[in-house]
Amino acid sequence: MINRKTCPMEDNSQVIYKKPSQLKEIARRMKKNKPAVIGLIILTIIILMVLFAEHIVPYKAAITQNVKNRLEPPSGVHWFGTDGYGRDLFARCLHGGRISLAIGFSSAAFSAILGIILGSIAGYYGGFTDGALMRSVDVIAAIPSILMALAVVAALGASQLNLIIAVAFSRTPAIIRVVRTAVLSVGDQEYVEAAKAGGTSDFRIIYKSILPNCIGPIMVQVTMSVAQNILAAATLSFLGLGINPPTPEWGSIISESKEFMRTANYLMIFPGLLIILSTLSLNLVGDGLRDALDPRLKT
Amino acid sequence: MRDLVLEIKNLSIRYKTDLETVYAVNNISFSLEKGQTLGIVGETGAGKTTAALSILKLLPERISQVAEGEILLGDKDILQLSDVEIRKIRGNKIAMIFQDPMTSLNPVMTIGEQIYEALFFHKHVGARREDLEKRVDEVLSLVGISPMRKGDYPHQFSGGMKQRVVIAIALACEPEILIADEPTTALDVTIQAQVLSMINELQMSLNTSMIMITHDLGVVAKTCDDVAIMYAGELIETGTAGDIFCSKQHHPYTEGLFGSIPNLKVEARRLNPIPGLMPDPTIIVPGCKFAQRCPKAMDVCIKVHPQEFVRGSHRIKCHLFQKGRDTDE
Amino acid sequence: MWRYLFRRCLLIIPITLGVSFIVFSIMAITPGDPATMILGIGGTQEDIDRINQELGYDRPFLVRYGDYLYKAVVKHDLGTSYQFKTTVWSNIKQRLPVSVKVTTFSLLIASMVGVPIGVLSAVKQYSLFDTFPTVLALFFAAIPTFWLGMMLMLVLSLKIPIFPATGIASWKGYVLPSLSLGLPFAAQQLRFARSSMLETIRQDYIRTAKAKGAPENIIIWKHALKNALMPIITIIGINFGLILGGAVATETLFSIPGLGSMVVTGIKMKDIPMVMGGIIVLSIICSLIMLIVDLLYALIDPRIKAKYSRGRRAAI
Repeated sequence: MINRKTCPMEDNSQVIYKKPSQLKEIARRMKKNKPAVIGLIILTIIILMVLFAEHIVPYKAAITQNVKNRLEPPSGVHWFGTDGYGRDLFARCLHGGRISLAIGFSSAAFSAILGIILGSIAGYYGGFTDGALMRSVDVIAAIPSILMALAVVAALGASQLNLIIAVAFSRTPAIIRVVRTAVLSVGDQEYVEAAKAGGTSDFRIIYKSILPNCIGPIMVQVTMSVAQNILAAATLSFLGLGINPPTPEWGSIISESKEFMRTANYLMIFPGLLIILSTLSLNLVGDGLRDALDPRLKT
Repeated sequence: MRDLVLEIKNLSIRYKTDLETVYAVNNISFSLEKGQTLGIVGETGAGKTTAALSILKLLPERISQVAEGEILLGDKDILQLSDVEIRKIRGNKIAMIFQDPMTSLNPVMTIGEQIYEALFFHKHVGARREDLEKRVDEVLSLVGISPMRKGDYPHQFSGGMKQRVVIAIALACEPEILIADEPTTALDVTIQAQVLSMINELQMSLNTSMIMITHDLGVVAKTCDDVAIMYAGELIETGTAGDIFCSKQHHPYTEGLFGSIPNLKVEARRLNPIPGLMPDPTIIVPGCKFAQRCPKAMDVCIKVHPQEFVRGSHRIKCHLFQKGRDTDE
Repeated sequence: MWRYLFRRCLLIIPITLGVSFIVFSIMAITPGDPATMILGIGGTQEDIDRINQELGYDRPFLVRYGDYLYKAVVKHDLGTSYQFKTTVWSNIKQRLPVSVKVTTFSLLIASMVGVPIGVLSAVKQYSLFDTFPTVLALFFAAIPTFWLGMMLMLVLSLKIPIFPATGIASWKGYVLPSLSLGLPFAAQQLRFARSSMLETIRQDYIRTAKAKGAPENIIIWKHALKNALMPIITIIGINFGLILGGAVATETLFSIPGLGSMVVTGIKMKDIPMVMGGIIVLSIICSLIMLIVDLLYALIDPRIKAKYSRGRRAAI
């Protein structure tokens, strides 16, 4: 019987085989993925616009009330029209986007950090630590996340920071689960065993050997969670438990527009479209990332 | 008189993706005689499986493309058949055994059901359920599994047993041609021999023609009447088992293959693997594809594609044996 | 199998206890006290202290929690609403059927629309049957449910008065809320069903089925779907929880007297018993759904069934 291990393939000393770095390869695949590129472009435009909002329309226009101009339909002067207090809706949407996106991204970052720490601890140590952590995760996950966030905001009081904490808190269980699964799947690989045998510290093993190898699914989950967080924050503000007026935020702008639904529906349409556009583009990027990490799925 | 059941003529297959075109199979021709076994040998990526899948039109639809060639089953060209027509051939006239028994069985269907299906799709008019069920039992005992276990699911079987189930599915309709794509590669060494001899016995008793795809010359020696050696999508040497195992003239690649097998008769310190890797299948080279790795390469090898050198049933595609050169015999 | 079912049911108890503790703690750190809420701004300090004492609000946190648990478990008393002066239990009994109806309709819309179209578009990959639903789904999955609700209200109730904008006087009242809650999830389930199906039809056993000569429709509906259904069921289970949560905004928007709107007003009013009761009931429903998902798993996949029968601890 032939020993397959010694097949001709083995000796590759003469072969020049260039392996592009993983990140470059992912970037290359992302570039091939048109929807992902479109998503990335839309997202960049939205982010740039809200970042430089002050230079486009000053914040004053978003909060200065002007009863004479109230409920003006979209025009050359007021691109998105004006709201019930005569405030420029375009300015409110732009500055509101600052807050919506900030909440979306920072709560995602927050829950990512927390989730990665707890998830890798659970996955790496296993046993009692894992059991205890995962049972608590089960408990928190059993509460519908919006209700959880609502309760947290109610407890801490409505402010931007508390909204971030609330949304992050309700999102963390999902990330812990993803990280744990990923860590478990690489945890018993040989290079980890080797590192353990070599006496490397646990922290170093997790940080250097395990996390880089399961960063893929985590990145996808975190990207997707930014979109979900934007939606969640908007929902909380819509329910009146988010950002306090007169500070603009997409959800609260929509909430305020409820009473003008009949007369001035553009008040709800524009901020709604902005939410859709940003979540849509984030989802596109997330999809692209997932496909790029797992090329098998795209043929 | 040679009784051909399957004839492949000038078959070329490409895979096209956004990035590149892979020339997987290039202008290969071979034929299969009734009751005989043809071994196709080559390393991973040589295009063996692609060639085999094309016989059943099972290539991935969007990216693969048969550039030219014919696959003749009797007087019909399989490549020209409609979906409905090819379905009548799959599993019925030509059946296939796949490489990995772990993934080739549907995890949520009982094995009995999976064998029953193969019969059901090709049932003769008037066949009743009981008759088909009886045949399922028969086929199961044929491959050495108790019919009692037909209600079990694949996860309840070991790898070797699963491969027996796969073989049972393939043989259920008593096909004329059996394509075995590395049927033992995924199995333990001890199980390999068992499964292999079982396939052989069944093939003999049913008088089935077989294409045995493998990278294992040992398997070929045990089972095959004819052998085709494949390298980088081309058949570089074909002949009877006698031509391949006993003749002195060989393609340097074939020699290399033999050199990389442990030999009990000759005591050697080390095996002699062929250095290098197969050429990039996305690039067409003008000369011989093996030239880069060939220890006997000449200038002409890099520039000119070699013609086939024919002696009786033995064919070698190499410049070493062009006219006037075949001096040693 | 039965033993597993039993153990799995028992697991709901500690989870519910955990939920109650977490919610109780969160409510406890909420600023303000119940008496101020009950009396409004006009109450004197003595009245406030007296009522807080009557409610037992002056006792330490753990004592209050213990008391709450004791009453809930032994006397089946979830307390009395601060705002309505009625028992929480009677409120829940009234509102639970409404919530169940809204979420069930939404989930039905989500699954009936999402899953079949998703499967179909996977089968017809790269054709118009794939592209069109996929793009539409991408769009719908990004819509906030409350905004979709407002748009539906605007078009189908205010502009063209087919359905009522608020209330649930007749079945018509359920249409818009269920649509606005169901469609975004239908979009998600479509995307998920599609990718799950694509993944499945790439498997080796599908090739085996083809090699047997199986016709296309048998391959899809018999061989592939059963395997693809596993992850789809998981996502439906997860979505049920999300729909329950999303119902909070939808119920508020359409003024539907469900558990979600009960919790929202409870939180705003610091009506602790109402919030506790509402969230606990909702999370028990969530746990039950996850239980059903696990059982469906075992029904579909013989491997998992085997695992449970052997009495091993299953991953939850």
